[in-house]
Amino acid sequence: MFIIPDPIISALTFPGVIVHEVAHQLFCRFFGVAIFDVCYFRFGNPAGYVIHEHPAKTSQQFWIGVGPFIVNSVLGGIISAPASIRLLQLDAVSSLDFFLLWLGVSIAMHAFPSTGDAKTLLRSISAPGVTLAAKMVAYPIVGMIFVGAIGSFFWLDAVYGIAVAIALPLLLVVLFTLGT
Amino acid sequence: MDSGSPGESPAIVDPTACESCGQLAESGRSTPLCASCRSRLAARPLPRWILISAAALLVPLVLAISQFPAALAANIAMERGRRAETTGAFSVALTEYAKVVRQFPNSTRAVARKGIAAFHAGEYQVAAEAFDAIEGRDAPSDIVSEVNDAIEQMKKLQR
Repeated sequence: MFIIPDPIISALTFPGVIVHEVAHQLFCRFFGVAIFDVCYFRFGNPAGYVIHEHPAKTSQQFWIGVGPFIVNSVLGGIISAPASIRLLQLDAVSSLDFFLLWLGVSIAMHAFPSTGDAKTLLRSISAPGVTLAAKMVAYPIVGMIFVGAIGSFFWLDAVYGIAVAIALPLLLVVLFTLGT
Repeated sequence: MDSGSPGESPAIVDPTACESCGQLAESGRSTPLCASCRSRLAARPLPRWILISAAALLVPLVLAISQFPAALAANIAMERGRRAETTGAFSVALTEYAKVVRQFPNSTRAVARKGIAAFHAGEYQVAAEAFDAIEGRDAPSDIVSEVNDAIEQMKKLQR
């Protein structure tokens, strides 16, 4: 297994770290959750963090934890999509495309919530008063977050980032060529 | 990359008083804060360098969004061309590949496929022009082999 220390990976893909933390912060702001400290990027582990109060509702904790997954995936997918088509389907790539691919993949590969996010979410859904239905939805998601965080050791986050870059155009092409 | 709540405060003298300003704290919340302080902390401003970075990120984002329709249309035409080729509908494939080449004339793959489809459709002049256009360019070995086969057969037909 080819291992690169986390701080180096984070430094090479820093836009994803920043977008991830900004997404956490904006979800906190949206739900009116007090924020005590924010680090958008640093050379360390974790590469960034948002310290906030415990939200009043479990659903708010869920969205604050999972929000960056959606934001980073969508943003990374959109930015890398045209470059990914030109590189993989058309073989007509330019240097700008490599920049867009780096940016898009960097953002998408930091979509996975961290183990810190998962632990916070786990504490939240394990608290008394959380309905069984909510637990049934949230536990598998927390489990997947842990798997994703552990999988980053095996480059799962990078694989995910690349998959996002390829998946959006592929999906649209399949949809548009159905029945033709 | 974490988002989390801080640990328990070691010495909260009065849980009904706002930790920040001492006014009456909102009830039912984990951290004793008044509504005003909570709103202020929740609306923590983004630093200037983050705002500048966000504005800078808009440039590649807008660029990608503006380029996406053409790239997607070309990818769709490429796929339709591939499917038409597999069913032997070479004229249809030629039309589809021609659409891609109009958008991306530097796409060696698209020009090569256009030439191959043109050859199979009997459009030898179009095929010859396409093969001339990609002469000397690097291409995947399977396409090179197909192009060379088509050129060989066209030469035989010419004799």
